Amino acid sequence: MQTLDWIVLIGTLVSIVAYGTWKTRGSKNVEDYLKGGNEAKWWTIGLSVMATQASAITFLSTPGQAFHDGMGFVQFYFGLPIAMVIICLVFIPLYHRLKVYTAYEFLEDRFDLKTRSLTAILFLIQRGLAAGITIYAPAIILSAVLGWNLNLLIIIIGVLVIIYTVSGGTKAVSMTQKQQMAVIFTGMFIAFFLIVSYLPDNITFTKALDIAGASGKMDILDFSFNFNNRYTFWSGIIGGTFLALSYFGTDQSQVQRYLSGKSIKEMQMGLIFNGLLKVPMQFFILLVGVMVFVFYQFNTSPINFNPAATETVMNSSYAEEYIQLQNDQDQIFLKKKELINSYTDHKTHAIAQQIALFNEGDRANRNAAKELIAKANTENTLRVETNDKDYVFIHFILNNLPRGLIGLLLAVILSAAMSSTASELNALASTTTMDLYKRSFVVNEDENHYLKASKWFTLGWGLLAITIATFAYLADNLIQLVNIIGSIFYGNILGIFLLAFFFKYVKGNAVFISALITQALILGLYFLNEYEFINLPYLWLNFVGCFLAIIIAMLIDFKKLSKNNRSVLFLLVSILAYFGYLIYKNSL
Amino acid sequence: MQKQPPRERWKKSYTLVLVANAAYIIVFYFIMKSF
Repeated sequence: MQTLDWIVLIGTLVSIVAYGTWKTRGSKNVEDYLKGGNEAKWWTIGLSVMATQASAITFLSTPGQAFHDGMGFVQFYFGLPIAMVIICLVFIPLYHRLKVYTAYEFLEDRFDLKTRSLTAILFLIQRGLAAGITIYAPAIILSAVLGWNLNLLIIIIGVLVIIYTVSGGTKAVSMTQKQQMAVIFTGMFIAFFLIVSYLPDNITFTKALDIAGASGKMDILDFSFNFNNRYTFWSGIIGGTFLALSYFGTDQSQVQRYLSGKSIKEMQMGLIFNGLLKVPMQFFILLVGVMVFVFYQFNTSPINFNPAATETVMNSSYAEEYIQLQNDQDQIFLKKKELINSYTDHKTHAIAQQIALFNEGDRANRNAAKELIAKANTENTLRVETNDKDYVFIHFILNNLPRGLIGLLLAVILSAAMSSTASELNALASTTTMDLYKRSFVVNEDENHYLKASKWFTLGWGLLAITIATFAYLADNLIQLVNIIGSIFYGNILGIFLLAFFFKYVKGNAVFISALITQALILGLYFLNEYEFINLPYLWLNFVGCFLAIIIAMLIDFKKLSKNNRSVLFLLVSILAYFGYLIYKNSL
Repeated sequence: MQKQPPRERWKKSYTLVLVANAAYIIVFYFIMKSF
């Protein structure tokens, strides 16, 4: 990091925070603070929704994902546009008509207070933990590669977010997110064009894609129906729709973004904007990763991109084996480079096959390096991450980008971390104030009291997020843990909302009992998988949770169901039974 | 009191977003076949 990088980094972040805080100071009332005075235009909503979803890990991890596994991850987003249309058609009109502050407020109108409170509490547990990880995940990576103090970095990110989120509420979150997205897009476009310009003179963009294709990185679509392949066309369309419906339709950190819209039309346009741009945006970020892969076909790369992992293994009895693996890797690199040069001149199937063989050798070497790191971890009683996909892009940035641009790209990563965290704190405070504090604890106070309470809750959740991030290193694979917690709750919450929207005969008591039973069953399924009695990847818990919540509530209120509803119930039970059969087959 | 979703009309923008994404997938297919 040179002085110019520090100027760009600090200048970008501080100016966004200062401008956002100054421009949105002095909220008049709770509506102004939590719904941004309902002034947001569609492009503000669209950018805000995108900025909330795109955390720092999106920009650190996604290019690394493409580097190792190619472009297939884009399929994960195929269900998103379908979910956007459903939310525009069903969710937004209802939220708008009832003038709710939070998604859970609607559930009291439709069912009862206890269902609203239960759902709000499930959200707070899940999102409260996630807010800590949104700060921790990039901080641990940046501290590892730059040698910065981890706790200091966590506190700086957290405090910067707290300043403008507490001061300006939703308006400040949306305003800063527009600027943060501008920084993110600018940085990523510059990075992309620089990577392509760093390729040898005879390698055009089309030839770079040829090289990526010969190495299997351009296999975008996978139409197989296999539980073991996480990213397929079908898991993207089916699982992705459920996941996006839960996230964008029922998670307050997203719902609050479009509830700030000026009109129902602006809210819908904001989500349509997201539906149009999300897949190309993810495709572009993955393409950056693929170009980094092509870059490293002409330039040497470490066998593992995580410097902490390399250091761990080099300080263990496995150092010699590790050096040998790196030497083998360098040999593979030289031979493959020759083949790739021939391939760019004569694109033949025979050379492509040889490249594929060398790629297999490359992959086997990298896996062997991971095993050595794991052994070194055991030897030194450490828990250094063996998977280096989060470190590929940052390694490229720090070792290849010119002065000033390293600062800009670090600003991209930190802006992404701040934009997601701000939405989370904003949503956590809204839910605590409106669904619990104002509704059940301190009922008859004036506007000013609730405005102050919202600010205090934002501060409180911000401090809790910093605390969780500071102690996050104590848990093994915490990021995965948070995703698992999300999957355990999300399906159930979506099921409750779908019951509210589409099953008018089902009443509050049935939904509440169903939610409790579903939660217990989902936890049971999770532990059955943990102890290897069944094989059910945790992402599918969303799908099962949603179906179980609906089916159990319908069974409890079976007598009230119309003939048509009973047919729907039979269909849902059949689908779930078939899914159960697939799990059984998959578990054998 | 029960509140059911008001009848919301289908808009051209919904068709646009679905058609655009179907087009992305077709383009991805051709990219995959070409490289």
